[in-house]
Amino acid sequence: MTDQIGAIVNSNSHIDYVCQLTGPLERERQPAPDAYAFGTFVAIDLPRQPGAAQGPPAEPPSLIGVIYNTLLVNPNFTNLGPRLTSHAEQTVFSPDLIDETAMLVGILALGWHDGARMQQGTPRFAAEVSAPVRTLTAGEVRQFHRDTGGNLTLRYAAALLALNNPLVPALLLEIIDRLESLFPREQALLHVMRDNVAWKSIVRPAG
Amino acid sequence: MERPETNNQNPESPIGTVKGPGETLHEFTFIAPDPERQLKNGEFVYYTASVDGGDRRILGRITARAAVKLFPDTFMADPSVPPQTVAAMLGYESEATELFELTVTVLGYYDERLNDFTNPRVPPQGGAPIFIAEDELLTALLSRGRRGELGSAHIGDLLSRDPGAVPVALDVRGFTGTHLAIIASTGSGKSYLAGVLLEELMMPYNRAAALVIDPHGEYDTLQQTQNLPLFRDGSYSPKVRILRPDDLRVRISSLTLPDLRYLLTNLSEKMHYQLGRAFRYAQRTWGEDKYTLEQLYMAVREVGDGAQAEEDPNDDDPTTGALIWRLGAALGGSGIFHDFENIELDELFQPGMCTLVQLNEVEQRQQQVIVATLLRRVYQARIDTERGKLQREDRNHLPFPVFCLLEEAHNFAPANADAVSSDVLKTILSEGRKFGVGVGLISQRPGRLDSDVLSQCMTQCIMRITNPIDQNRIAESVESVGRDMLKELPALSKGQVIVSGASVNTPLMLRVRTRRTDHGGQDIDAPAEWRSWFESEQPARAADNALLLEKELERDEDGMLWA
Repeated sequence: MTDQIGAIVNSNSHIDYVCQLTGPLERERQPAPDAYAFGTFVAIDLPRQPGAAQGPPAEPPSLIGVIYNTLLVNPNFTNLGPRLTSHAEQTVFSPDLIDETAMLVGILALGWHDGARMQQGTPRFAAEVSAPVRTLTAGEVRQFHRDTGGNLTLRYAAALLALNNPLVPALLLEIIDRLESLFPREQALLHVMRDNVAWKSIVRPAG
Repeated sequence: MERPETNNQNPESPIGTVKGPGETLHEFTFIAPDPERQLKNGEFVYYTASVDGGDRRILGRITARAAVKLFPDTFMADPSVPPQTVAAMLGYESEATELFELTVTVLGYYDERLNDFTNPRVPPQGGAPIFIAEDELLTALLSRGRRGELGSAHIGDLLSRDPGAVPVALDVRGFTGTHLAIIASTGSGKSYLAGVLLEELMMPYNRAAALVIDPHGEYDTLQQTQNLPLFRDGSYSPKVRILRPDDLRVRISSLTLPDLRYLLTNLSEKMHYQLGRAFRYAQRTWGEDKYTLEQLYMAVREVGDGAQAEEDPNDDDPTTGALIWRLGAALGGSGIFHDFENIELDELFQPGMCTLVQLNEVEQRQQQVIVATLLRRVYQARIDTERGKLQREDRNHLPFPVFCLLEEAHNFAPANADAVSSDVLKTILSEGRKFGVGVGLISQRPGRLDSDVLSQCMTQCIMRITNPIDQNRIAESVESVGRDMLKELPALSKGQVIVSGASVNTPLMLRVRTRRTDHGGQDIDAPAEWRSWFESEQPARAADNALLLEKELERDEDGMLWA
């Protein structure tokens, strides 16, 4: 299990969430930049279902998503007037201003973990505000991309491409590159998919 | 015979769903996943429609097949990664990876009263189920004949089904009455198919009177039918008679004036005129069909310019001399044209007998004249017999229909060229039906075959043809084969044939059955023969040479060495 990198603060749709990364006043240890890098797989905790109370699952249920966007929030932006305090003194004199500066990441939910196993697809349940977000380990990413038969699966690719977001092709290429190192035996298969996406997103628009 | 199990069964489950009408009025399209690849081009399917108050199975033939759902090309970028794997990775795990739109040409339901298919012009409803026609249904509906029954010729089985599943028997009445054409390029099995047909004609249930004009001498193996139990029934056993070029005799007086003109090349106008007069003189003087070559010479001299009196014939006249010289060269030196001998028709034709007239080593013009003479005599004999002019004791009495199969038919009825045999062939093809003279033409170059002749053959067996000129000629002359079938011609393999016309109920793509006798038309295996020369012939020669060397060589007075 990895450390929490932030919490859900907003959502744009059933699968599109906004996570605010843990700020300097919330925790001592800030998430490292590669913990919220573009294409990082994350888990968003889901509230436990009442029906699932009798047999407690091994792990809490969660949404599995991928970071596809980053936004910086800075209330001081364009506020170019003179200030009484220097930036270093702001922590002491106006900590609320520091608190309002935030880094947001966009997360697309690609599947879920029901406590027993991971599945790809559009999740039935939605995350709540303040739901903690953490990155997946390499083992969890590998597990997320294996179906019940043990085969490499990339079911969410079609849903991602259908979003018509300009960042999606680059996101898919990033994901496939990462999967190639995690699934060395399926490299040929991933290559076909990578070439397919690359052709459509790189060669065809330029031609 | 036990029928092999096939996977074309289960008539209860539909194989596709009607999409809608096709491009033409007698077409419709249907959609099918066809995972078992049953719906080949040429396959038969049916839908059910209400006709005259009852449900009828309306049969149709698949004429086009187009994919409507296929994997994207980019999924096939790596030959070692099947596109199904890529699709499965993306979440498409269904086995239904393909979908086809099939165009069907409606044949109709089989009307027992008309003995043919009737198109009820009731199009299928959109969404109606389509069934694949069962083997039994097709066996019953497609063939005019029934295997092993009188008047049937089992030549093979339906290509789209498993071997032996749907046997097809031609109606012998169809092709012996309204003629047959076997058209195929070299090596696609036309002689083999002709052999199968002749075997069927010699079977106890047919017992045909057949004659084969065999310019290459490749039907000898049919003699085996005489000894095979399959061809026997009680006292019946077929006879196969081979007439080799040395046995052939054509009486000179049986040649017509056009025959003579054809045999004598480079005749001047005057020679033509004089030959015509001499011919008529000979007929008048010695009687039709009763003069010799010497008498023909005499007739030429008699009617020549220089002749003053009967006892004063004049060879000095250049026309007379040239004509006599030409007659001598064409007829005198030939072993075939004879003063008195002629092959009698009862030697050639007899029910249950197949006569092979081998014309190898016979010059082509002579071949044409022999064929023309033979066909003319047969045709005349049949006319005279049918009209009661000839009685049993008469020489040319021919009281049964006959079937003549001509190999290399383009030599006997060439397009854009005159051959003496063309006219008689055309006459028989257009009128032979009435008098029971059936003709089968075999050709590898339909483009060189007279189109009138080809279009008169009402049963067509077409095998692989790649030459576009030949394909066009077939398209022009053979109406019964649809365009969709003609497209298959270059793709047919050896031993696959499209049969259409009067002997089948609808054009069919067949697999020719195995011959009961050996096939005689095989190519020479040159490398094997070269090798065998080294193994047998060369050691023998080396031994002969060694013997010669052992003998003491002597030098004669001229300095020559002698053994």
